[in-house]
Amino acid sequence: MNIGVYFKLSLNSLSANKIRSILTMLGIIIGVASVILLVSIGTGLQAYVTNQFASLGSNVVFVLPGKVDLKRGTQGRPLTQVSKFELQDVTELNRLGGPIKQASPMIQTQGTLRARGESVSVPIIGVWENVFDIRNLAVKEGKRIAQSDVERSRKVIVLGSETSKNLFGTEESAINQTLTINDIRYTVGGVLESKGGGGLGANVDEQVYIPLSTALRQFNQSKPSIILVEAIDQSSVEEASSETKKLLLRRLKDDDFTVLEQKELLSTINQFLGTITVALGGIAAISLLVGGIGIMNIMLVSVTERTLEIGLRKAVGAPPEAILIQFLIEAIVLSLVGGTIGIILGSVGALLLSRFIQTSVSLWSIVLSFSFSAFIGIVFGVAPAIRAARLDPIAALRYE
Amino acid sequence: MIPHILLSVSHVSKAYRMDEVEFAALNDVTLRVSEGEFIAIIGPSGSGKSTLMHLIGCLDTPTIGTLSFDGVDISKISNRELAMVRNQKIGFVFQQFNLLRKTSALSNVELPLIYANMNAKERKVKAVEMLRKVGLSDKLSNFPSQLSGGQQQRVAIARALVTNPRILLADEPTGNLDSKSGREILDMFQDLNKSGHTIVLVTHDMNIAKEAKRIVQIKDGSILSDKKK
Ligand SMILES: Nc1ncnc2c1ncn2[C@@H]1O[C@H](COP(=O)(O)OP(=O)(O)OP(=O)(O)O)[C@@H](O)[C@H]1O
Ligand SMILES: [Mg+2]
Repeated sequence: MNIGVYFKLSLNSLSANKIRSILTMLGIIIGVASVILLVSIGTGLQAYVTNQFASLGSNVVFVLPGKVDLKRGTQGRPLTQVSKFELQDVTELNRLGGPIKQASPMIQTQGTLRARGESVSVPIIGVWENVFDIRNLAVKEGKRIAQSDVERSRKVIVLGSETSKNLFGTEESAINQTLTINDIRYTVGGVLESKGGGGLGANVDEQVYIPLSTALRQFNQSKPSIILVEAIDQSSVEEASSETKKLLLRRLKDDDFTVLEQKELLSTINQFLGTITVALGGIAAISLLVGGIGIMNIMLVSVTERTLEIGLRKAVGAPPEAILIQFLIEAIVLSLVGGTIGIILGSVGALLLSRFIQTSVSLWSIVLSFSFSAFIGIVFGVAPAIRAARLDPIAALRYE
Repeated sequence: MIPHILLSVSHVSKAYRMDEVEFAALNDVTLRVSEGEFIAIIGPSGSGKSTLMHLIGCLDTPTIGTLSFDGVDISKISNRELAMVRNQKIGFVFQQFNLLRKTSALSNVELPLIYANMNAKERKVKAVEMLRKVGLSDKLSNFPSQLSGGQQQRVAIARALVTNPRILLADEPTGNLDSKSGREILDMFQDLNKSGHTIVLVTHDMNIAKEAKRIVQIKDGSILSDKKK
């Protein structure tokens, strides 16, 4: 018998038993689609956060107030403690040279911006002019905050692209417009290039920047809460970090501040994200198992019916291999069609979801889920055929 | 001229094991079927008629004893070869018809021809022709569930005959038919026999048994009598 005949036999059998075929495929579809989707969320999350960190600038060391131990957490103390940094510290860091290219003080609070009846609550960051270099922030429209703005405490503001769109509709139309922060009027001096990324967590495109001196006055503060230190290159980051520590220790106690390298921060966050990905992977594995059990169920429920069918085919003269090949083709067709639909559904689902959070479909999830489901489908599809093909026709016809 | 022995059953027993008890459905049965014979096996319900037919049809294996078809001991040949014997030399009509449920009458009749490697066109011509002979020309695409018991029986007969087998084994082939359709089937069997086909049919109706040239009476798994006309 040629392979075409076997295909015809198998396809006829599949279409004659539509419900059984569809339910089996459904098991495969659910397994494959959910694994692809869940893994894409985990991978997307990791990619998103890594990008966000990269956008902070790659050679940057963070100086935070208080003692922060990333390994042990903040142990009940709030992460943002009372800052003891003085602007003088930053000036000294800038004078230090060596591994340190430049330093920049910052304060950050959440605040409400109002313009033309629109209002948004966004992170407001008080900065020096050099922060734009350290953090690789480029303006799309207008200009950045200038040294003179900081020196004269001008009320100018640079908006993230997202915030600009939310308040003024576009990036271009925001320039020279006024907006208020707690009734104090600011003029929009510039709008930043978008850094991309979805709407998850702190979005850099939402952040807005005002001169540090203006911010200190507006929010009634006297000290910067974070100092960014940029090393001259990647290999000097560690040295810059220890120089910073040495300098600050001259004036402050050891537990008044923490110097963090981005590398450490990133690895801690990645550790945490890894846990989330593992959890998502666990859920995906469960759906795969549920799908697999679904497939087994359908196959086992139809064993009696299929055994009778095999008995009958044998009785009219089907050789053993004809039965095996027919069942094998049936199982392969179901697995391939179901797996393909699952891959399409999972990928389309990930695509739709990417409007809200970043997703990234990974090849290994496709390969893994597809081969697992196909394996279950084929094993449980062919096993009854292998068993029944050995029986005498009458034994198969009498099977219960 | 001594007629060729097509089928030989020698000292065959068939026992079914139910829990701890063994039940002998057939007890030391010996039977020879020659080419061209028309045999009726008659006996009360439960006497072992179907069991014997399944053995003759190479559908079941005996507990003890040997069976040979065309001089070949069927316990000594491969499953593949046995499948070919069933496919090409034996036509079997089951007491319970045993049609594929979700498959049309036409496809049911085509089934043995698929395994005989016949091309689709030829298959269809033969199956349609056979269904016409059993009077089901207008039911080609009906599923078994859309056919009466008698019609299903006729599909089963058409399927058994479509390969033009050397021997036709029919287990109560007229059990579900009215006397007129039953008569037609019997006439068909007579014609087949006249054209050289060997026929063994099972019945518990003496009137039908009398159609045959030889009547084998069976009771409690043993042959009581074996009379030729
Ligand atoms: N698979 C089985 N397991 C146990 N006992 C069986 C099995 N098949 C048949 N028997 C028993 O073997 C005996 C013969 O059965 P068989 O079907 O051959 O009878 P029969 O002569 O064809 O009867 P009927 O005219 O009612 O069809 C019966 O007593 C039956 O109970
Ligand atoms: Mg019977």
